[in-house]
Amino acid sequence: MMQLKEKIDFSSANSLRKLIFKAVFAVVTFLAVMAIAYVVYFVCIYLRLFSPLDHLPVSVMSVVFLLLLVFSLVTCTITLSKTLFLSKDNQFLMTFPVHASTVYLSKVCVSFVYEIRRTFYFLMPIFFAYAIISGLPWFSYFWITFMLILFTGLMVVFAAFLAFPINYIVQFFKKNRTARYVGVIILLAGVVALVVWLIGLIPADINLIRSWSKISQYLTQFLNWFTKGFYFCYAFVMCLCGSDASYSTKFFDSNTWIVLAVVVGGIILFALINMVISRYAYAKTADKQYEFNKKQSVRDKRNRRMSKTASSLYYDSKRMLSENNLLSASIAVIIITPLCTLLLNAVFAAISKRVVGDYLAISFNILVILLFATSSNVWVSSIYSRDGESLAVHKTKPVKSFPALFEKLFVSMLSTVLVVVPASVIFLVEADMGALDSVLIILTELAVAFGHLFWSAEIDFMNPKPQVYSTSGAAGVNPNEVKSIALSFFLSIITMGVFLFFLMYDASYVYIRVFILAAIFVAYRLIVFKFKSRVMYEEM
Amino acid sequence: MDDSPHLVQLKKLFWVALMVYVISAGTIALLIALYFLFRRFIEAHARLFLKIFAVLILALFAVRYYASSGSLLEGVHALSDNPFYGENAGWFSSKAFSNVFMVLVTVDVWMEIASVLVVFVFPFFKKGNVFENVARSFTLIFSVINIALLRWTSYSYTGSYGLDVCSVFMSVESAFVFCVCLYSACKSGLKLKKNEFLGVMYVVPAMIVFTMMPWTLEELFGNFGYAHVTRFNAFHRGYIYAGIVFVIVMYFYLRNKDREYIRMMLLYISLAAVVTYCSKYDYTSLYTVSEWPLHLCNTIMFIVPLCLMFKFDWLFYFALFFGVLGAFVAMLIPTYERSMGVFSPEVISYWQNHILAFGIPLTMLFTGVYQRPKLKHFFYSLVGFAVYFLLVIILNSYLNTDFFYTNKDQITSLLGSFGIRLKEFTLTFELPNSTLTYYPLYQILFFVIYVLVAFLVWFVYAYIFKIQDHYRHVEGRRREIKAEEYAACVASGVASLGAYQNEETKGKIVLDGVYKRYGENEFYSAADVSFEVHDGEVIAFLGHNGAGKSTIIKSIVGIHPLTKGKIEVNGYDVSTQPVEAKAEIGFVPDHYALFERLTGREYINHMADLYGVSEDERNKRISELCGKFRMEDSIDSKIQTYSHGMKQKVAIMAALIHDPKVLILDEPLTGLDPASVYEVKECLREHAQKGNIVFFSTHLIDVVEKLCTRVIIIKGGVIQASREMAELAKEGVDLEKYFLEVGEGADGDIKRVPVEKEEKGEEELDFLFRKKVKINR
Repeated sequence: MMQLKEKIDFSSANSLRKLIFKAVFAVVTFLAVMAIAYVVYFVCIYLRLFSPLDHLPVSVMSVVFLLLLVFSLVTCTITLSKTLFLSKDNQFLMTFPVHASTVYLSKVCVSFVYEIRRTFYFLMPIFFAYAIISGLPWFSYFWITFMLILFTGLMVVFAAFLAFPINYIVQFFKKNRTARYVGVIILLAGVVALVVWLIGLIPADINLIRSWSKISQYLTQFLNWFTKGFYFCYAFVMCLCGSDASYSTKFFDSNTWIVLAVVVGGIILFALINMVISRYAYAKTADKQYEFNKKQSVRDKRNRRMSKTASSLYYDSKRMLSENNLLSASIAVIIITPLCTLLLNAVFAAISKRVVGDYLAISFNILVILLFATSSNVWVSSIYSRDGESLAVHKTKPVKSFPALFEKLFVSMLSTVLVVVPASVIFLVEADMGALDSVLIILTELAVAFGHLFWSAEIDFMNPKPQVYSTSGAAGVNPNEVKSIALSFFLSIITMGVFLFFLMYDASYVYIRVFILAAIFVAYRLIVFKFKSRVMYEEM
Repeated sequence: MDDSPHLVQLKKLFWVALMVYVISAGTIALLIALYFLFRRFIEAHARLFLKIFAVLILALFAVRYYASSGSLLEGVHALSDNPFYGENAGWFSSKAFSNVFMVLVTVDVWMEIASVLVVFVFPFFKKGNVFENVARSFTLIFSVINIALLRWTSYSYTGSYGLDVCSVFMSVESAFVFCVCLYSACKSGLKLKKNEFLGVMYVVPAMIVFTMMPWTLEELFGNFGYAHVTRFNAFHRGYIYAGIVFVIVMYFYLRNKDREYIRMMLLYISLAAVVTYCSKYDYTSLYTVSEWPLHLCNTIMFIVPLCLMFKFDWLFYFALFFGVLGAFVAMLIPTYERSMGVFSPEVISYWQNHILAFGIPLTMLFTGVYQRPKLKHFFYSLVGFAVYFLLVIILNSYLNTDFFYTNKDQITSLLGSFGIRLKEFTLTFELPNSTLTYYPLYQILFFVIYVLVAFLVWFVYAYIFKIQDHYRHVEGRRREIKAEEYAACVASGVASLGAYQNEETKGKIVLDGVYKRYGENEFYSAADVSFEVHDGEVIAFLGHNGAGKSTIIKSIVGIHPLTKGKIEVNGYDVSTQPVEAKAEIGFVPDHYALFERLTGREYINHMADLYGVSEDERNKRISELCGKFRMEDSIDSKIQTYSHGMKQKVAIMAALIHDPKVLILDEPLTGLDPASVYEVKECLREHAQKGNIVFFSTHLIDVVEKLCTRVIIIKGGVIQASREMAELAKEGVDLEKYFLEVGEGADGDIKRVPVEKEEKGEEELDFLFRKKVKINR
């Protein structure tokens, strides 16, 4: 319970109004996800994308399920390996008079509760929407709920199982610098090769309407292949939503009981394996992160004098870049964004479009670039809090508040430029845009991304959360980062919407008008950042 | 001599015109005579009389405004033909003069409406208000012009030069307006003071803009080449932006004004909206039921002035929850014909109405004229909406109208075939003269959806409140900082603090009445802390856990802002000259808070850079301190690999790198080995011997006894004692026992100083999140 309280805010339980507010928020979120899923299914059925009949085949849902499974499993495994092995609360949890496996078990249980919450907001509405559009019987909703809870349990124990080897791999890469670089280079080469291969696969002329019968045939073939190749997904979804039987849906057949047995058996099996492993290996593995190889730098033993600004820039950047996760994430985004843009534009170039199609392509490119650029800056919303207790050291420096806070954003600003400019150049060359328009689009993207960056930094210093980085370490959830993610989506979509709106309704001077709006936005955010840093720095 | 018919007509008109002026002048004379007759009584009840006159003026205005059957616009246009009765009037008959004269009368008509509203509004608010100043200056001038042009302004309304009821009423009304303005001018003087003049200058543009008749823009600028306002084209978007900008401008203009001023200003604007909107009506409009202003936004326009004059909670929240939503939807989906011109009177009137129905309740809410809504307010407004809804569906079925668009197919089609199917379910009642048809399912769904959306709008308001509170807090803090800086400048006798150093506190740390309260705590963590530390002293700060030692230390080094009081370090004020003060301090934090990803050398170099230590100096000091603390082997390793003691040593080395005047340490000896403890003690002693200040908190009594010159004991955030060590030794007092007696208390009972009620500030309950919010107005 103690750990659960640390991870989930239960303060609303004491206030009826807060409880109502949270409940309303939960229901609205649930309904919103369900509505979006419903609309997507409806469009698929309306366009007869996957079936000539008026319904969505279960096989489509099994593809959706696999995608969700991979996504959930990856996030759950990452979260769990951080919570189990990298969390700073291990330092005192391990001192409790219980066996290490009990600490392990409690952490897995907390993760299970956390994942159930995610299932409620994500998986459940998607399957409920399917149940509504397919007209499934009333009991199927309870059945789906029950099975998804079981599935979440299986996912958590499996992720907990995976967390052990993953932690060893992470530790190996952490300690072995050469292996780390080789790994990164192989990964990058793989990504580049994948993109080149995918671009090679794109046909020279894609005309969706003319070649629809061919595409439809491909889709059917793919679904048939998928149901055979990934039968476990297909079987699970059939168990969840019933199997197609001519014009009716059949529940609780032999497949249902087999799947149920496999899921329950899987939970028990992995739980047992985890218990055994944790009994012998958990305490040892969890302690690894506090073991450092003491190395003495032989390169630089001179004392060097720098100006105040240069010193802050240099040492702050150095500290940030020495955080492996941040550095590798930034490099990954800098490389992946242009590749994605290249891929996207290769597809767009092959599609024969009308004017509206061109507008959509431009807007979508801008959305993708901005999503990458702004989401790579989400960590800025914890840039000051990440200093943990040493945040206080910053405040004792004899420097003015604005430069002290602004200097820390330098690395992020540089990385934003490196994300936006190459990707935009690729898209603008592909779209054959004029020089002035190209410059304006790039400046607009930079303005929005910088605006998001200043806003995220402001969120952090207005409500710093050093305790998240001081006590429970990386496993803690920083609500400021959640806000920044929401802002990232919001700003990217709004920018795309504004571009699209102006292009479709009023195409004269679009780029200069949107640039002016973006410039006003970034100027406003910078002014507010400066003003608040001056006024609120003391209260930080 | 026989007069020609033309001359007879002219003579008749002359006498009629003379009558108008005689009535006006007579009324003025009568009022002045009455004033001098009953002067003492009138002066004793001056405000009451002004209110009575205000109501009378508005009543006269309303009657003649709606009783005149002609169109004001047509009347004004007719003036351009021949304002001086004939073609033989020489220069007066020229077209150029006619046009100039027409413009003059138009402006007068415009200003006359503004004058009536000013004179109506000001008596209901406290004496000497800005509208009273407008009345005794701007309005007084226009009331004189208005009387001079009375003959032609009344013609503009009636379209006739005859002596009718409208002309008589107008003459009396103009005389009343003049007398009220004259009275104000006589009482307060004709000349405005500078601040009064500026206040008037702020109000007059708004006063003019909001009484603009809907046809004015079309008359002045034409119609943009007959461009039309269609759904979401540039003009439509322009009007929507205008609605949003109106709220923002009004909020920022009024947010720091007192509530009286806000109410007065909004009352004027809302009355002006009613008057200008109703310019399309006359008494004959009453016969056409569909013309009645019973659409939701029209209704809101009439409700808002009432809410501003009286405290009608439920009416206001009805306007806020349901009216604002309706106005916003109407702004998004305008219901006028698409072929309307951009500046056509119908379009202008539509937007005037909806922008004000949208903007004024919001401005009232966010400027605090009405309190933030609670659940009960929503229920009250729900009842109001239910009554309104019932009324319009009954009227719609009985009179075959479509108020609030409850029957509009355009809205039904938004629900698709489902809506159309719902509407197919009808209930019909046969009456002797008519048939009443209702769509119960459709109308119930309409009602429910509207209520649900209104409820969701509440969340939008809640979010805006959060933003508003946030900015109020930031703004409040900014004002505090400004006030502190100003007070410091005044106290120091300098225009700007800059690098000003107070000679009196140079070489000292001075704490004067320092209070520190964390967040919304009911108590102070440090209260009325005052002491001085002089150069050459080594001071220990003793206290139980949670006594407030770290709070005081963190306040001195600039980590925490002060709630009250003043701290000066070597002549620099920590609050107003933080950079200068911090430059004098070397600080060793508790918890070994360092930048762990740097090496020890990098960390110390970074600190040396910030304090501007030269390269030679830092080379010398780093090697000296490394030797002293035995850190030569570890200084180039990353701090995260250090033990606690090593981290503490690096922190001390970094604090000493710039040879600070003031060295402050928060429990510096924790985690150090005995040899290091000795080194640190020696280091502190040497630093003080150089004429510097050493101030540290600790729990180690024996260290205090051996090292310090003075001890300060704190308990429950309050200083209990400040004693010289030599003095204690002379008295033979054992420090440990003394501390237990003074610093811990016999029963260990620690009392905190509570926060006084008035210091907690004005608080409002956040209506959705139920969070107490401190309001800095």
